[in-house]
Amino acid sequence: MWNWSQRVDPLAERADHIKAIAAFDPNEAHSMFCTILLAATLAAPTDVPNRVEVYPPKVTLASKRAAVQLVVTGHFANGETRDLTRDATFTPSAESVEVRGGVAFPKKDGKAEIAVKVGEQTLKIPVEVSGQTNPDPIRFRTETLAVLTRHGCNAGSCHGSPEGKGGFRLSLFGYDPLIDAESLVRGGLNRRVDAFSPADSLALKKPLMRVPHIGGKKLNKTDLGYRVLLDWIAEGAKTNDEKQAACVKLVVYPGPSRILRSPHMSQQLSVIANFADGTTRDVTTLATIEVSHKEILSVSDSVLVTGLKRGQGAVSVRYLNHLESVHFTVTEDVPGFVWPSLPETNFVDQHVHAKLKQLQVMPSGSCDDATFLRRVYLDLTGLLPPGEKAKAFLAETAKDKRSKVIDELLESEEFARYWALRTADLLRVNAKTLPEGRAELFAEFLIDGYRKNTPFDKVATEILTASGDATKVPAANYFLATPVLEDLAETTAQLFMGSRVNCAKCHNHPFENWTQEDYYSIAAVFVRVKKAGKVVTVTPTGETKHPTSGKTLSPFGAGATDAKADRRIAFAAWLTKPGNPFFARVEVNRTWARLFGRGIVHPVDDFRSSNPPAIPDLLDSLAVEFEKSGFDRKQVVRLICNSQTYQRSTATNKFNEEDEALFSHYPIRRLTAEQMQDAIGYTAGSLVPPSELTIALAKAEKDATAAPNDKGKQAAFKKLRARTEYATQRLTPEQSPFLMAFGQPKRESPCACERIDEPTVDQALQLLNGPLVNGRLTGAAGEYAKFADAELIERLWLAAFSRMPTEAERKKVAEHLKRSENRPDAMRDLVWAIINTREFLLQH
Amino acid sequence: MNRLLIALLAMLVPTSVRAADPAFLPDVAPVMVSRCVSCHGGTKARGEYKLNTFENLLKPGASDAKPVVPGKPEESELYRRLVATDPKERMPPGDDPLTAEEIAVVKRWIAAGGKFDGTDPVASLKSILPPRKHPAAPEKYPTPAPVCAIAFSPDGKELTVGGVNEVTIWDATNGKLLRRLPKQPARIHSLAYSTDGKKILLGGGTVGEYGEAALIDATNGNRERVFGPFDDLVLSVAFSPDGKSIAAGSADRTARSYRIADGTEVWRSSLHNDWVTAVAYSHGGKWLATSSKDRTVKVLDAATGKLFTTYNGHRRQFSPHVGQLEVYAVAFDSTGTAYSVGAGLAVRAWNPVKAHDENGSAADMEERFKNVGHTRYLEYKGERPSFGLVVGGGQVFSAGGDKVVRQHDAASGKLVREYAGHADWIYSLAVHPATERIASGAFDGEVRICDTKTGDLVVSFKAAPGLAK
Repeated sequence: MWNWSQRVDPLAERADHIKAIAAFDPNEAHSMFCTILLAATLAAPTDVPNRVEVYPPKVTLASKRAAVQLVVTGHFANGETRDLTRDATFTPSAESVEVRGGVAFPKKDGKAEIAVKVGEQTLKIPVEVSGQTNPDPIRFRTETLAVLTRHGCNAGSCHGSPEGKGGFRLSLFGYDPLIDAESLVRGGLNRRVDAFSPADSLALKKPLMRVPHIGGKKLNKTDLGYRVLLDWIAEGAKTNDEKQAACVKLVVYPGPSRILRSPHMSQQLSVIANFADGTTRDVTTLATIEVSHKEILSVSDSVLVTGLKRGQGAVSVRYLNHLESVHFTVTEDVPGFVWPSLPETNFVDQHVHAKLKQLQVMPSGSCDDATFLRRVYLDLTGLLPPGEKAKAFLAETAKDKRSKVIDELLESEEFARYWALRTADLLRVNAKTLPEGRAELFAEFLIDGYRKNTPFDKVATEILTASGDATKVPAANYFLATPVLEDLAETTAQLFMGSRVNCAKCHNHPFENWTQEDYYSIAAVFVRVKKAGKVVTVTPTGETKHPTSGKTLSPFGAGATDAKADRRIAFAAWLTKPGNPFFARVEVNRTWARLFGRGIVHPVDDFRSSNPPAIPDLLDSLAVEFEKSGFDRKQVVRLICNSQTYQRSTATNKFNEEDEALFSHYPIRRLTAEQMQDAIGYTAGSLVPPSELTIALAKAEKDATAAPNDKGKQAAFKKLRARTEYATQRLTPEQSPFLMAFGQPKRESPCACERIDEPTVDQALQLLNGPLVNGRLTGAAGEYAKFADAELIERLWLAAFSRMPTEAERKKVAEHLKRSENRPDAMRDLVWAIINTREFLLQH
Repeated sequence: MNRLLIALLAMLVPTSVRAADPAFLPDVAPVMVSRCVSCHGGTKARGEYKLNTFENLLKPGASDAKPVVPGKPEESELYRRLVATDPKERMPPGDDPLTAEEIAVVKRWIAAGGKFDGTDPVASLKSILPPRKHPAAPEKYPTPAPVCAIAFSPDGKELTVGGVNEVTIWDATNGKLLRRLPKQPARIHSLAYSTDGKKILLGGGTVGEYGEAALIDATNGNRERVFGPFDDLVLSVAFSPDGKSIAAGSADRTARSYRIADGTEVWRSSLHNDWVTAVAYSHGGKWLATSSKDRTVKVLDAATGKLFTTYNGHRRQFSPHVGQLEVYAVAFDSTGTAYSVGAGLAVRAWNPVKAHDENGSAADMEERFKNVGHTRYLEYKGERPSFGLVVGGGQVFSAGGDKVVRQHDAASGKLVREYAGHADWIYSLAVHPATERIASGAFDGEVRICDTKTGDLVVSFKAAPGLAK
């Protein structure tokens, strides 16, 4: 596989610079060294907890097979909490209950207490045992199906796939008990369960591998699941428990997050299901447990979570259609790590630092001015900084010069255009979908939103509630770009709620609490939108129904008070109301991802409890700040760009070299397709910097106004105004082989993933001798040849890298130019070599 | 059973007076097949060790330890792994150990030299096992067993029903239990009477592991001939019209023909990609049609098993009756028309010769079929597949998950009648044109016999001997 780091660098000594980017920063080493000397040993937490807590506080065992997992938590003086379940002894006061391995089991009806003793502390937990003389048959919907999920039978890759596997089909994670009842009992010519010899049922012999099973061994005889399935079959494989109360809520303790600090690396979980009839049931061993990062967390059959190494991960607990996650942070002392005192510009740094300190990750130092300038220009405008601008910036001594550049860029036309381009990518703004100039109209609307810094709630509302002729109402094109109702529901959820609800079209979402009901409720918001040609209207009637239950669904979010009102208005109001769980968080996360190449929640449109944010407090605070600022998008960008976190070096140290998710160093990434095309154009001298464009534009406008009948002047003005020469600044994208090779999206999906950043051979070929590069190089000769060597080198370096050349570089280039017999050719070679350096191709 | 008992005794008595040594095929192989081969069999054999054939059984796996060291059980990996105390070593993992008797048999077989008593060391063990001996039927049924097979005796007086490890015979007029024919396979999926009524042919087995067809005495249940074994249930059996052969279709995807006289396998067809759900001879015995869950019906030359044609009418892209539908049953009438049914909402009536003539790989085949109107559709309404299909007296009966028996007139294709009354899925049908009776058996154990002239119920009963009411 070809990748960027393996590229042969045409300017060999330039490789040193890039190496430096990825190497140890001497300044940082110094500060770290000093703090190591100052290090004091942390006060060891005392082993006696201040307070002991037992969960659940009261144990109810209301049937023969009931069992309740007890979880004992110690609260220590230093604020730590620790699982003491395995350190505790449990002594029941009466024979009605017994405790084995921290789990309470009923023996006979009655009341009792369990004395829980940890060290010298004892707590008494009341116990009530009842129903021990009543039958307690296995429940199909709440037990059998849970077991099939726990053992993976109904997973999407196995029998839960739409076609099933090996002729045996189950509903995905048991979302449709009727399908499962039929498949298990009467389907397959009744071969899967055997009431006369339950242990010989194929449903047991297969997962036990008593007979060949393509899926392999999925069940052991000692598993609780085996017992449940066997007993269920022995009791007649009854599936008619549809009247039984459904599970309405899942409570996972402890939640929603926990810190495991070495050497106390384990935590027992308790999972309790609440049913519609008010009863509860401990389903700890029935639920399906998955961990997001297997190298960080493991989980045992008895649901004991163990931290394996430093890091963060989520433990997802699925029971029937419910899913809850507990986020674990695993910390351990890293030898030699001492947190230094670091400057913090704003709360961004505070939150990032708090997380880094907790996980003992040392942030990198600050990047230099040249790197910062190039970075912030690329991020905010998509363009390289003009050479003169870079030179002036490097010479500038004002302390707030970085802030000033950020402010300046935020007010630029280029910012509005570049950021609108990235937004338009997700809204399918392409001329094929939106012909007759509507794509341009919609793009201009998005640009204007950034240009005027229109509050984002207003922008979103305008888009989501647009009606009318789309050649006049730009935002109405949103509905025309996503023609199908389901598509509209999915796109809206993905764009504004950061959620991929697509799965829920056919079945409840496998990894999240999105249900089919939610899906069709979102669709209900838009079901009354009608499209006739280019005109979007809203009718007063129209409903969506749940595909299986047939129930008419009320629109998602907030229903309108008037049954005939445009449902989109109530939905937009609900969505953009401060405190909405999605809106602000999704947008600030997208903003963050544009500036760091990775979201706090990653991927940016996959918000779910099993995919937690890397730094939850950071995301929350940014969202709150966004809401407080009146959804001021520029303010969020300003906050982030001014932070130390944004201005970090890409160089790593030994305490953060493994970090890829916590923003302890600035991530290196390839220029995007559009950035690359414009950067090559600018470096080769064939694109004027936009600052000069403004003057040219003013002149062209004047000329055009003066000569309204001069077609040439009109066209020149139009071309300049639409900035068609700039891939990062155009209203609608040019689809060129070069841009497509570098992953420019076709704008056919609302997923940010449509933009591809993987390296390909095509990219290498485009850069080596693609037509675009060749064309630009031809121009480069004329642009630079007029300068004397020293100035030429400096100009070129400032344009390409925003920095002055080193002495060695000056010398080498001067030699190269001197040696050559044909100066234009030598120039072309030089520029070609420069644009093929990693320093040029990467944002760092 | 007897040998196991001997083996058990052998453990208790001094070796000098030990009874006959166990033999591989009758004593060791069945244990290997039922407990070991599923993991140590195919291409993904665990530990690179296979014992699906005797030859493979002797080859060491990844550990290089010799499985069988003749005369030295303690040095034999095959034995050592059965008695290892480390749960990671002990086979089968995560499951019950072999019984003490089974382990003792393996040990003694190795001690006696580990010899092979078969003829073909590369044959799959499963295929060379002796026919299984079946346990007795439950004395009293604790719960009704699904009725997957029923058949009328030639005189129409008796109805035979597939039970659990038995065949039960009931009076077709009043539903009284006449006799029980025990020690048959655990499940019986197909039943057929010989024309003289003296013999019953059954198909069945143990789900997922074993199948057989057996010719039994209709009076006392003596197992006169066992055809097989199959690797999975036999789902359908049929006598050839000349009474000299039988055909059987199995969930192991094969259809096979056996000669009754000596029990030899005449041919075996492995053309289907899924269960062979039904087999049916054409009236004169020229063809054998085999239906399958693979959505096709194949018409084979009954004498040779060679493919004559494949009927694809259950996977249509052109209306009507578009779909990819499993086929569960096939039957012929006396005019040579074949009828087949499964998922979908119609019995397909078609002619094998026409199907052959019009078949081919041409891309327009489907459309041509549609235009020619080659298949007639005997339509009905419903939601679930049909499993049963019988033809008699010019009438076509079908039934399945929709709990009704449907009667179509074969000539006109019209739906004549629907027999309601079953409370559960119907798995089996039998028709007796002479006495004008249609019988149906359901998941809940209920058998209903109705008059095909009037549609009235004649008798219904739960085919579950000793069931507590």
